[in-house]
Amino acid sequence: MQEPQDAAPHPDTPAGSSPEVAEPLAAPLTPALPVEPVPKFCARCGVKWDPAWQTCPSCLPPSTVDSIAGGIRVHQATRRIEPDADPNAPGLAASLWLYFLFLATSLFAMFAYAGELTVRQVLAIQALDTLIVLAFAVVFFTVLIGPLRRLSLGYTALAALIGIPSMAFAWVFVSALHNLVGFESAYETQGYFDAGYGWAVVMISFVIQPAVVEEVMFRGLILPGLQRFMKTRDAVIVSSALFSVIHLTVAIPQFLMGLVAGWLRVKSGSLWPCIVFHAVHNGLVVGVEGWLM
Amino acid sequence: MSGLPCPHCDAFVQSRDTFCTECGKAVGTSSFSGPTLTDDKSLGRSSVGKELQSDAMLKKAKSASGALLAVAILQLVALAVLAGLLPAGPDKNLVLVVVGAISAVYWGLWWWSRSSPFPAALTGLIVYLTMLGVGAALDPSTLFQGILIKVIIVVVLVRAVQAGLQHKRLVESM
Repeated sequence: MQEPQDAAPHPDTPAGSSPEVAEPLAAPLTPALPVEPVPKFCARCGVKWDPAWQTCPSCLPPSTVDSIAGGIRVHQATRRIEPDADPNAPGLAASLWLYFLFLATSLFAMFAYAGELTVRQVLAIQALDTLIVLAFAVVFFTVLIGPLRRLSLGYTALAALIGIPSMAFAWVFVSALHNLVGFESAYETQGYFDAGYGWAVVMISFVIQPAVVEEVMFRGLILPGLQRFMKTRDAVIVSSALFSVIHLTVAIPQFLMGLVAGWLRVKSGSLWPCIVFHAVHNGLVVGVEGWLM
Repeated sequence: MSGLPCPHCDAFVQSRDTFCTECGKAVGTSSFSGPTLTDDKSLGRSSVGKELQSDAMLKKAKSASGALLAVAILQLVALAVLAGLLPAGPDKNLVLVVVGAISAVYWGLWWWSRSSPFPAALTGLIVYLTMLGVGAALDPSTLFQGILIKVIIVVVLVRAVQAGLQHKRLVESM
């Protein structure tokens, strides 16, 4: 018995012997990649590949694996740092722009007038600050609209109550500091009355403008902005630190105010408790100063 | 995407792969561009690479601790020097209270940065820039005093903040 030789071309025939197959060696690998062979192992983790898989289950977070196993739906698993964070909130860059623009007005005043500002100049800077925050509020209005629509009356009432001990602490702290340093305590509102301004201007400059503008800025825009990048607790601490530093004083009372307002904002989901808290605090300062003068 | 032959079975392996899809063995890193640990531009693709990269970024974010500690100590030194140099009076007391408070803030930030490096670095950076701004507004010539130390502190804090952001993006992609 003799097997027929050369009945069909053997698959192991050297490529060079046939002119049609001589060229593929020269072809580079890169352009011919669209058809990827079915893998036998996962390229990322090396587990044995099941041809039924679309994605490797051992390379994905458990939540996605569960949903694949359940066969219901595969959703994009995102392990976000803060699940409540608003994706429309300002990013870190926008938050920093807002902070430093607001700071720049105070620093400019410091530089230009060496800290000796007339009431008119203070009011002009407050108007400029208001415009800056207003511009950011317009750009990021979707972040503000929810917390402004929501009233949260319970937290607003609580906020008004907390404003009383908050102001008392700040008053005692500042007085103690003045005593420690040896400075005379000066009533901040005195200059307004001396310059011929009435209660209306004092209330706008000390109570309404700071309460609305600063709360929209710090609790309305910067806090949700920071929540996108860190835990809520950390975001409240950082926003409070910024809130106190921007006052350019030894700012422990402002830091505590920031913590309280941040807590109110997070707990209530509304901006009104923060505004009311800030307004009651500042209003009491003005009221007590007016009573003592 | 470029690639090379697997060192074990000679199958074609994409350069992003950590394991050969034909034989399942780990491919060597010498000829493959695995996930780089310090490059901010590219995030790791394999889960192992992401873990490694995440560790490296956290370490970088924690480098903020050093900068925050440096500010805390520098302010403490400044406190001691000013306490000895300035003439007694309310102005001296005010300066000492401010410098002491800044030192206390940075000791607190240093302590915080060991558990939460990113928020601490961000706060430290913003407070530091605010301080430089106030100093420059009061007396522009002070901006250039100790400029090298100031630049180093700002650079370290900026890099720590960048690493923190990168870490957050990486965690989100895992």
